[in-house]
Amino acid sequence: MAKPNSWPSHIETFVDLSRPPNEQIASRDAIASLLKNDLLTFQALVKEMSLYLTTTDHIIRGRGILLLGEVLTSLATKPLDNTTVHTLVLFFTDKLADWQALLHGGLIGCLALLRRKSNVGKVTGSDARSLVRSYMDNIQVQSLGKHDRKLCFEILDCLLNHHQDVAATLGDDFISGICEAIDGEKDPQCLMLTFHLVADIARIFPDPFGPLAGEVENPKIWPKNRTTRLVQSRYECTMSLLPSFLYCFIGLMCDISLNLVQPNDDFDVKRDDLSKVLMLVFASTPLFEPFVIPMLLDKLSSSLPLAKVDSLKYLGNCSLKYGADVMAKHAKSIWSSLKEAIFASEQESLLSRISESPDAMTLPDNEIAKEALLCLQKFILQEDGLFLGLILEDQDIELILISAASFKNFKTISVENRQKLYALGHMLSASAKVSVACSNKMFQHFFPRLMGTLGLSKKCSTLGCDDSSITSENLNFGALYLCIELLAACRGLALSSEELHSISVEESWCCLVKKISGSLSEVFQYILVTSTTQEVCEADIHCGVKGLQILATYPRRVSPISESIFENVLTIFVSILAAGCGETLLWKLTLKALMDIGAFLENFHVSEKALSYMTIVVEKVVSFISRDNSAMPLPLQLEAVSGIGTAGLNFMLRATQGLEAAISANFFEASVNGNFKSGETLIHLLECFSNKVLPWFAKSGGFEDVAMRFSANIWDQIESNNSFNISDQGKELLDKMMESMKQAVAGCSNGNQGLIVEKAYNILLSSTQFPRKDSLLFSDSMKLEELQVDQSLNTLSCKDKWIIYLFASVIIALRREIHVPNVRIILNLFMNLLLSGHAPVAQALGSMINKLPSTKSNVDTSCACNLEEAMDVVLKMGLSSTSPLRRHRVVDGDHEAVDKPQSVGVCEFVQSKAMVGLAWIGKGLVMRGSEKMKDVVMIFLRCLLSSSKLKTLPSQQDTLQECKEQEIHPLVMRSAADAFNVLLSDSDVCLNKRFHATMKPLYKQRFFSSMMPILLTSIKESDSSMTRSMLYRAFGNVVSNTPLPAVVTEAKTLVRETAIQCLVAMSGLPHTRIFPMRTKVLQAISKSLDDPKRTVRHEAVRCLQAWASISSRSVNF
Amino acid sequence: MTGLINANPTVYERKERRPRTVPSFTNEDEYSPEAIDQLEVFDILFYFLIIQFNVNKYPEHPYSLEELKVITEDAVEVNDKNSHVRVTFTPTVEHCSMATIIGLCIRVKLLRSLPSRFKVDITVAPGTHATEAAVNKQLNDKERVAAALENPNLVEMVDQCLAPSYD
Amino acid sequence: MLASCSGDKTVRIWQQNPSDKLSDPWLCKAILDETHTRTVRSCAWSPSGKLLATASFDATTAIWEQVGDDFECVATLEGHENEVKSVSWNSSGSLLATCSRDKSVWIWEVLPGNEFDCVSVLTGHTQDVKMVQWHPFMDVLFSCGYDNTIKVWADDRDSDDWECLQTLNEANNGHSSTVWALSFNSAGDKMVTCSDDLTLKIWGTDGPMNGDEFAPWRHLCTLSGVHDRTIFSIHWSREGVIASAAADDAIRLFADESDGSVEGPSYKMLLKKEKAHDMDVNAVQWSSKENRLLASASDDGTIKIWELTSLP
Repeated sequence: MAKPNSWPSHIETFVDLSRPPNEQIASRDAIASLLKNDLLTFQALVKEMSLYLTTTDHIIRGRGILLLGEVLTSLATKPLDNTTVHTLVLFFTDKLADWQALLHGGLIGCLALLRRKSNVGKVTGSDARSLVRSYMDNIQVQSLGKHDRKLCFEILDCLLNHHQDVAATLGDDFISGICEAIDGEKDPQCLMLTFHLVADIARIFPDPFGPLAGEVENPKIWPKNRTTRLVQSRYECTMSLLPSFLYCFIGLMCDISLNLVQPNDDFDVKRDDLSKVLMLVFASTPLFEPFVIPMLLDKLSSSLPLAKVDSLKYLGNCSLKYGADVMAKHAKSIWSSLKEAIFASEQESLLSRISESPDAMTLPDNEIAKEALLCLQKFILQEDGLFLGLILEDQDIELILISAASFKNFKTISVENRQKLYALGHMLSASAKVSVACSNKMFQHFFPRLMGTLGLSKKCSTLGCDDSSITSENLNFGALYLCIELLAACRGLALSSEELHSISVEESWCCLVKKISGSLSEVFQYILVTSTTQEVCEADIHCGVKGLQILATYPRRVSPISESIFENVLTIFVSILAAGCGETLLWKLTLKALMDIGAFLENFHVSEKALSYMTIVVEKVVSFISRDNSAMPLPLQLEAVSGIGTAGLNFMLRATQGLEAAISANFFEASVNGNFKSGETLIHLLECFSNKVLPWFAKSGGFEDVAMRFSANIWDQIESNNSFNISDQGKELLDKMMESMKQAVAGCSNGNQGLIVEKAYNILLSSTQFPRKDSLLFSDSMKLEELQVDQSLNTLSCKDKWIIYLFASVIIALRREIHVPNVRIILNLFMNLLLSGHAPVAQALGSMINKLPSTKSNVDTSCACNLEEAMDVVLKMGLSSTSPLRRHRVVDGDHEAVDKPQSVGVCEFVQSKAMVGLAWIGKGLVMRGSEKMKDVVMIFLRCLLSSSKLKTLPSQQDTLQECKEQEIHPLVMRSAADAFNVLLSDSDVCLNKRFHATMKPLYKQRFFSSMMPILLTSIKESDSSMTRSMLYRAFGNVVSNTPLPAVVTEAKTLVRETAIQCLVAMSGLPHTRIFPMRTKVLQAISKSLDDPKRTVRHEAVRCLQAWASISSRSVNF
Repeated sequence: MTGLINANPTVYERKERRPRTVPSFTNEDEYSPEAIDQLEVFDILFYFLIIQFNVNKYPEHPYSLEELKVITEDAVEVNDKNSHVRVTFTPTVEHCSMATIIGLCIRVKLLRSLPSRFKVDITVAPGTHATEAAVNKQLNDKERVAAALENPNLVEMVDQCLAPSYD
Repeated sequence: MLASCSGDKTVRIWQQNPSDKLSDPWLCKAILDETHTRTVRSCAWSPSGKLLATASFDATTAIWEQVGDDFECVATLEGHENEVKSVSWNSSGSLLATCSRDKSVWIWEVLPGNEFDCVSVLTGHTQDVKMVQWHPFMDVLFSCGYDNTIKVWADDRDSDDWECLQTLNEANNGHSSTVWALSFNSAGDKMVTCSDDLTLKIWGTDGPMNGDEFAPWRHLCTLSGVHDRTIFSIHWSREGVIASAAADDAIRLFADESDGSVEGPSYKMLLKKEKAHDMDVNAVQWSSKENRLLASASDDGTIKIWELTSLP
């Protein structure tokens, strides 16, 4: 802290502009702290400074005032006696008259003073008043810089909030002064303040008659004796000044919306903030109404979409705040501009909208139109009669109706007329939705008229109707469309208030609809029927389907159509489906409509109709697939079945029954009689079952039963028929069957999974032609040593194959907790099969290994087995079959016992198959993060390194000779390299979330960081190009399957170097194949030229050279 | 350009290469950068430039530029921080019309081997070449160099010179 | 609209994006390729803006005309023995000049129907010619190049052929190495040149600007130590700001600060933009419009658009 005697020097420092800013600030703070601690008084300070404060040197004087002002600001909480405050006020008030360029300090001072709270010495009312006077007389706010303007507004704001009494008593010119000050303000930050100012004015000078009068917080502002005339005159002058700056707000909003102004470039003001405040200002008092509303209407005609949308928002908001009677006088003009907005804006076509579900609020996507309609609804809600009246009497609407009536056929209506029509449709439905009363009015006015156009008017009076009158003559698209919009609107209304039962059947619109619905539905039906025979344009089809759908989906109590008509509708729809011999629009829409109807019946528990739906629709549709003589192509049938099913649980159950029946029937046909066609059918059925049905049940409950029934059914069939033989399309069929089986099992509870695997296992055992059945049966006692690779499994009978593969599928889908019977036997069997290249079995084995308990489970020790033991089996057999590497096994544990010759001469084919198989096991281990993974990986590595002088295994000198004489075949090496892909890539056939795989978090990253060093050193040390290229292949597989972040963070020098070496190696590939990547590679590598590490740079040079020479010889690549 | 230019050039003893300690891949120095230095740039040039003197006669007897003392390690100045490299080379004999080609090769090789941020100056050692100035001016006129390197024959020759460097 | 040419043998036309000025202000409107078979070294819009001339190392000069939204090659000017390095239209657009490594400067007359007629071949330079540039409003041609000189050419009324009126070389305070580029101020009475000798030189003439009689150009001042490597490009804005681009990756701006004092004009550096690009900056060009946009092109493969926000 500065010494008391040295403080004058601080003043000099601050005033002297040549001093660096930080020094100036320091000295200012020093002075402040002196004052704070009463080591210095203001009087003394001012006295000392008097020279600076009065000098004719503008700069110095300005600095002096600024110093005083800033010091004052930093002493906001320092109690000051009234005289000090008084003198300071006088001083600063006087300074407001000083030369404009020096105002800054003065303003800061004034603000600081006005902000002072009463407990620390507040500015007295009279002082404040005189300060404001001087402010008013001397300051032209808009001629000041941004920062000073901000200060000015803050002063006003402070005055209005901290000195309300003063503000309230100030003359009209105060308000006009404020208006002047904020007039034309453009800076966002300042505008925020001005917005608040205006709101404050409205608050402090409320309309004595207006709604706000009651809410005045401080009644003493308004002494009763004040004549309201004076008050009135004050508003007049206030308001007379408002418009100009309100306009400039709007202008700003438009600018901002166009990004012409960057609201948050230096200040943090967002467009929305401004928008909100502006809305607040507008709605703050009805007094603004005379200016705001016309201006908003004017803005509506602006060319800026955002401005349009905003004004619409504001309009709605204001109307609510101002109240009906205030708005009444604008109704006409508002209506016409809303109308304009709605009609002008591009409406999206009937086609896109009308095909969506009827409950959906049918608003256009177009922002403006949407806002306009919402705004319209607000107004109607507010002043029901008046606004509706305007709509009903509107001449433009009249014209549209007339023109609509004149065009019968959709095609003959011009595009803009269609647009108008759609717009009108939106308007009618929006208005009708507002309230029951509205919909009544709308119906009474429009409905009979539309009926007239449709030539159904006479039917409005007399119930019952003869279809003779319906011809394509009195089909009028426009009228139909508008009808549908109205019907849909009321339906929506009815549904929304369904729970409340608030709608009485006596409502006039109900009666009207009831009367006419019969003949209307006939019109719609007529369209659809004719459309099957002759050419009908899409729009009409939409109308027909949509119309019927809406009629059929009214809530029970107000349903306009009788049971019989309802059933008629369903029958028609179904017959359309049945006739459907192609993906026609009609067919699609019909199915969709039926699904929606079904869903409606389900959601609103319309039991009796649901019944007829079941009999008429579901049964019929299910019969499609049960009878294969149906003309409809199978995929369509299935789409229909599954589609209808999704409408509700009961429907789906019925549909599933049919599906199951069809599945088992066709499975029998295909497997026993080898019926090819049934096989084909079955493939489609299974697809539908696993893609549509099962997921649906999984979502909406009831999955277990279906899944169990399915798997039981399949297993039974396999078991029961002995002449099981599926010929040609076997592969694809088996795949589909496995997929369905996996999915069914995976979704089941633990209990059921147990049952399924038990059943499957027994069938597996009892399968008569199973090789070495005996050994399997009595092998519980078997010693691991006796396990041997059995080549007889290379050829399996069709039935065995199906049994084993489906059993594998079951295993794959099991949860960890499920105990697999006789694990050892299954292991042994699986290993044998795996070595003869049955991929699904390998995947099952991988899944088993992935889920086995790591410690021995106490249950049933004889056939239970833990990971340890399982891996012994796997490694023993795996290694023996991937020999001649078996000797190297020394490295991972002592297995000398295994005798040499047994698998010599196993062809590369088997070896490579074995590699792939082991890969799946490895995957299981990698995912659960088991150390055992290393053993498997070592097998791959050794296979890869076999053709080079295994430096990695010095202990093996003696075996080198042998290695030489039986080189590992490239095919095997390649599959060993690609095993790394299997290890890390995500699979959707097994070992994933869906099939309950055990996944250690970040297992890929772990593998990456543990494997990389080994791979890299092997690459470095390998001396044969063959080996190196294979190692690169493996390296590539690992890198490409590891999440990028992991690779990047782990990308040590050696990794980078090796990655580049990979690229060099790749440059050897056929140029036609790699040329497309050339530029990309070159760009990437030229960055590596600047790698921090020398070795990497060296490789980069070689790589560039290699890739550059691929084609063009340009140096710049 | 493969004609007889200097059938029997003076050949010098190969200087013992300064060995560079092979970096270990332990973590502590993993992230410590190794600046591009004189030796590294010299290595880039050292291994590649085999001028095919008179191909028809001694195809199997190419000499590296170093053996011919065209480039010595000290003739390479590198400043990694300022991204600048200066190579001063000494044409085998005066009036050696290969001077331009050698210079061009050096430029191309460095263009292909150094990070793009580097500025390269290539000059003939003072007093070693009759048209020293002319050669220097050409070698450092990047427009001329660029144009030259669009000339297939020239590029082929350059690549010929550079070829042995690769692997 | 901006045209750029490149070693990738193409010319690209860029245009300001009206819809999105902020995030994506310039769009590549057209790519002119499959005409030049080697590097395109320079390009120039005709005064009318209807035609674009491109000079290429393939020894030809191509004339492009905008047809609808893309550009058609309407003429190919052949004659130079090797690389064409620069092309320039005269103020009226009636004459076109090209120069080449073959040491010659060619003047072409623009005839109706996109016909181009060689009216003169100027063979004054002793080395390859780097740039040709017409005077902003007189039909006087300036060329500079590898022989360290700047030559001034005009049509001699009597012989009705073009002759070299003046050669600015080391002898008269000229450059000591390759002169890469030259540019005029809007008044046309001052010229700036840049060179491999790392200096900028300002030249002036007193003569009447009506083109009746030739007033020789004289050296006014030299700005040295402003760039550390070869200065490739220079351009004088309408507002009098000189922009220079060099192999030191930097862009510099200069302006006249002479207060009419006797010892000639002096120029102060307004701005040094170090690392304006990642590699050599090959060209700078001010927008011909009133706005203060500057385009710079570099070996790093990018074109940057700069805006000069304030003048002192």
